[in-house]
Amino acid sequence: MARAQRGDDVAFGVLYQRHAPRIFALLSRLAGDNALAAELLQDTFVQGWRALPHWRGESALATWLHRIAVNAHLGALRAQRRRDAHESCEVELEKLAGIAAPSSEPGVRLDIERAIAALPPRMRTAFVLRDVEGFSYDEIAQATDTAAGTVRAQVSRARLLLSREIER
Amino acid sequence: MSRHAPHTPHDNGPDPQLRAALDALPEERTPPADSWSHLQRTIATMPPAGAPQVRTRRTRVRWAAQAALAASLVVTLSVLANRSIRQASPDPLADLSDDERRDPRVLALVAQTRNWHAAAHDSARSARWPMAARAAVDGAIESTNRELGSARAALARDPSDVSAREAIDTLRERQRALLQHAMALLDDI
Repeated sequence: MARAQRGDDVAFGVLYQRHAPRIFALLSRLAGDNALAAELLQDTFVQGWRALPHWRGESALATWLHRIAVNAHLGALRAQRRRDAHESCEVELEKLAGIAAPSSEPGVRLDIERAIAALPPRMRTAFVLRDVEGFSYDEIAQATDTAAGTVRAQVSRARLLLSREIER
Repeated sequence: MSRHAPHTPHDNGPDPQLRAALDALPEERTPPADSWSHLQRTIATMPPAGAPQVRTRRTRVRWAAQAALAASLVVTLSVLANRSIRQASPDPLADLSDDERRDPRVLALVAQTRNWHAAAHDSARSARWPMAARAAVDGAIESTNRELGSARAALARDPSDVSAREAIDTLRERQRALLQHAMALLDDI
């Protein structure tokens, strides 16, 4: 750790190998898209690299990186919200069309990851932070700059959609 | 890293089946193979870790210019989205043949299209619906209508053209599914 903090990229590589799989799993769920998650993983570790010398060990490194990753995702989500007037809406619609469409292969085991990925971005973020990551509604509301009531509604709606998918 | 905080009294959490599915999610996922080498190249071009980041005046000016450009782009896109919404409300019955007007499936689709336009442009009902999403649906309907027009023209030229007839059925089914999803989404938001 001390070597990585002094800028040793080999030591930083060891930290990366240890923590990246968990962070990538988190980001894949939040982003609903592996390519975007891979970009956010890069952002997370670039920020980690920059900030590592200032890390004083108040929290576990995994927790610290986890927070950076969530913030990286939220930053991307805010940027996406600004772009909503453009291309992302069509993608969102296509994804929703996917979740609402009946499975073409009855009996196929539900891929919960795929179903989560098909949720609209803000609903997915609220749901993953709440039901997978265990954030409180207030924490999510603050992090996403959204009213707590809206977050509750998003989580509740996501649960309903996913439960329906499971029951199919 | 999952914390799985206890749920509040007003929040019973996901139902047991969903909870079980979530608990079974893998905690790790392998990043893309080139991920580390890419990161290594990125950090190699950065100042040493811990070096103070100096934001030059030139950088600030560039950021301000980019912010201004982004703001003007948002305004332009909003105007374009509004314009496409206003333009995309054709009468769905206008081009139909007499036979088509007697076909219950076609009439159902026409009714769905009218419902969509009424709902999507009802400000009370769709206050939270992103304008560009409405434009996207309208755009999809419009492009499907264009394809439908071509297929119908082909069928008019050659009434035995089976592929044109199938294309019409497929396009109408696609349009029906699109409208159904759009209405469901509209109700959800």
